[in-house]
Amino acid sequence: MKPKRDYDPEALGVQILGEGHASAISHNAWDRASLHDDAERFAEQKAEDRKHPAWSLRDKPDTEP
Amino acid sequence: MVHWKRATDSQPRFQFEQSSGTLANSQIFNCGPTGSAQQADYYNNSPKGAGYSIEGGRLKAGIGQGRPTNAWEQAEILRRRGVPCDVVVIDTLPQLDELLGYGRRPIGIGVEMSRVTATTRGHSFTGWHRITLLTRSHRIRGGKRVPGYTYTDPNFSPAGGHRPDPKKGHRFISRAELRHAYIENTPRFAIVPAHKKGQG
Repeated sequence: MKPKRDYDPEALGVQILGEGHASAISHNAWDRASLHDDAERFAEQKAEDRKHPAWSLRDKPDTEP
Repeated sequence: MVHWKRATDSQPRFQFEQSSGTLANSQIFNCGPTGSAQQADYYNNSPKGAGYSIEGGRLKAGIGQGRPTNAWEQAEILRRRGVPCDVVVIDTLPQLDELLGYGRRPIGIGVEMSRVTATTRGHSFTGWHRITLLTRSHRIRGGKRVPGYTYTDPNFSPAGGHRPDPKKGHRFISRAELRHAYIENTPRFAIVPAHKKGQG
């Protein structure tokens, strides 16, 4: 049964997906080992952060639609 | 009885909570069920400290333990808590802004976390991950207004755990960084409640 929505998917231009689509969402594949070295890995990642392609986007006064 | 007006008012949920099962089975995989629990807590006005069981949602929806969940399973958890919702493909930020608004429709999205800076993430995990956008918002950085979104990343522990969130579940990502991480990547699945709170 379709839920009663307060928006019109067609007018908004979004696609409602049915059952059966494969999804890669929520693959949080942490393991016990990664919990122990997490702080060290995170420190290494932060040290490299200025090279990240999204670094300049963090503080961007974005006006794009 | 409490009534949470905005999604930022209700309690942030974390996958390393006690109600999320054991570490191996299924805490490490529970970003999705955790986000669905947080959405349900908001819509159903769960008191702080008495939110829906995270692992209980997984089991209630008939989802096996010890593995990640997909968008449909996360939507099913939310439906089983009485919140009608859809899995939606969002292609643009204006679409996201229209659906999300200012705090009355928290939306779960899947993000490849390597596309987000470590500083924004606050943790080292770089794989596919479910976060929950709570509201459009902004920060003043370097004297400039930076538009973005307030969100909860479940990949932390509650206070007193192995890694509490310094932002207490209200993290910020700029609009430009979210565009890079989510809109300019695939898939762009979102778990979208059918109505804003109070409009159902």
